Amino acid sequence: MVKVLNIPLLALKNLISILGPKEKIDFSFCSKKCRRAVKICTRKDSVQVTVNYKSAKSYVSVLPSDSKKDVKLDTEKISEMLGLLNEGDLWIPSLVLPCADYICDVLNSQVYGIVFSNSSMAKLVNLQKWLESRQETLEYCEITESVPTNQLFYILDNFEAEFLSVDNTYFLDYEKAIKSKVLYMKNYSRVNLSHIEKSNLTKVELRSTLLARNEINEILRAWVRGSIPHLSLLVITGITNHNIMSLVDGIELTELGVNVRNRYKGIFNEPKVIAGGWTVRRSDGEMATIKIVIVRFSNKYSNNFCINS
Amino acid sequence: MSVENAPVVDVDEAAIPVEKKMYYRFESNDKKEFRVSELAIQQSETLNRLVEAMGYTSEDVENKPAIAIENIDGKTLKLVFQWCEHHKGEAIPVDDGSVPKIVEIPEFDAKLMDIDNGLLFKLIWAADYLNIVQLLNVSCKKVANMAQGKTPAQLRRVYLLPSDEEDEAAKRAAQEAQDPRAREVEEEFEERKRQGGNSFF
Repeated sequence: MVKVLNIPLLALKNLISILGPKEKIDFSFCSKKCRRAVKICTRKDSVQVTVNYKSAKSYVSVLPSDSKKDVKLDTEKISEMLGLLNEGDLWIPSLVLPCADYICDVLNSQVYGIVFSNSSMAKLVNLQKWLESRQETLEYCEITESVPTNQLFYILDNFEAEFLSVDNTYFLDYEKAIKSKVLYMKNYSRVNLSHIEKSNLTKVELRSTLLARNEINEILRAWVRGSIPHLSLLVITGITNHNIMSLVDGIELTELGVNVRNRYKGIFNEPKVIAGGWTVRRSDGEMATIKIVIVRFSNKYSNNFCINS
Repeated sequence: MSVENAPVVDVDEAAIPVEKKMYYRFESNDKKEFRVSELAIQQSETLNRLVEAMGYTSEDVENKPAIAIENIDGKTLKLVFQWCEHHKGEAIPVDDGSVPKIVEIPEFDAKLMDIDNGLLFKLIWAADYLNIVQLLNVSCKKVANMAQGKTPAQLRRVYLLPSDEEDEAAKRAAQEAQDPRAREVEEEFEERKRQGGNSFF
């Protein structure tokens, strides 16, 4: 056994900075002194706190900045420790909010994001009020497949975020999505040139797109003309047209050797590399790389398209 | 203790270059003496500055008394110097808080720190006092690893953490020790309360 609170401050700071988020929270529950120590020794915004909001079993997850794997915190246990819930009590979803408050306070962070699943309008209103009272902005908003239409509209109207990730078949009102800077559509979307033009979107990824070949070509031409200068990354996957080269019809391209590698950051800021492809020049001189990849899924071919400037 | 009898830290003889290499002598608070290479000393910012300030020649090192390290005992200092000798020449990590700290415990360090918790606690103190950044990192990592999978109640036991009530009691005791009159006043107050007095004054 080690008398941790008796070690020198620098060593204590060192020790706490090494603890994982779950251990930090558990440590903070040991006493007021411990809670203060964790708060003092945790760098501001060194974790991303995400609230996963559902009708049942809502929880908070934390992603440390030095890790790719988020840690799911036992919100029920934290509620018990906070005295919000006694053993044997039924778990109430709104208890996740005071838990998130505690976690953010101890770990010196804001709420980074919210993942929405089906809950209820009343709970969403409660969530919105809570968020409004604690912070002005939200970085990340994810709408999952289970969210019904009425809740979907409420979320889009009331939870503005820099990064919007959507996996929802009811989502057709793309006008509401263009308030974000980054848009990730997991399924069958029809986000087209007119939406992108009206937006400030800098990065867009459309998976299993429903866009036709000429619609993609229009986006590309608009980028070359300079009418969507804010767009720096466009990734479209699942293009089912076999005449894939028609996507770049009428665009002046310079082919790059396969050994030419361009590094860029993907939609989630993950490091990526384009090998080969073509260079395209915008009217103001800005250059971008285009890459079209043919991917084979069982017996089907799908074409993936990427433009990165 | 004479220099000849001092517990010399293992030195890889083959690694010693032909030119004369300086070995400093240090003495722990229980009068145990150690010879440590110049390069190993560089791992400790405190000792490095100290020997630089002293400006010893190789003759001084042999003839002058060993440098006393008052706050650290021989058992702990032996571990510290073994660590420094093993890691001599390695770059000293800079922690400016700009990047997240990722610490891994090398095999040698893991074996070195296979010690009881009391000694580990002293090792952390020594690493902090002598400002040996990487030794502090690995020793803290070892203590941090003890927290894995523990509940707050278990953490209290492992880390000997006092509860809020114990902290309060300790605070009161410390205050009373500073001011004995405060205790008398409190006792008087309790006595008057028992007698049914409404007001202290």
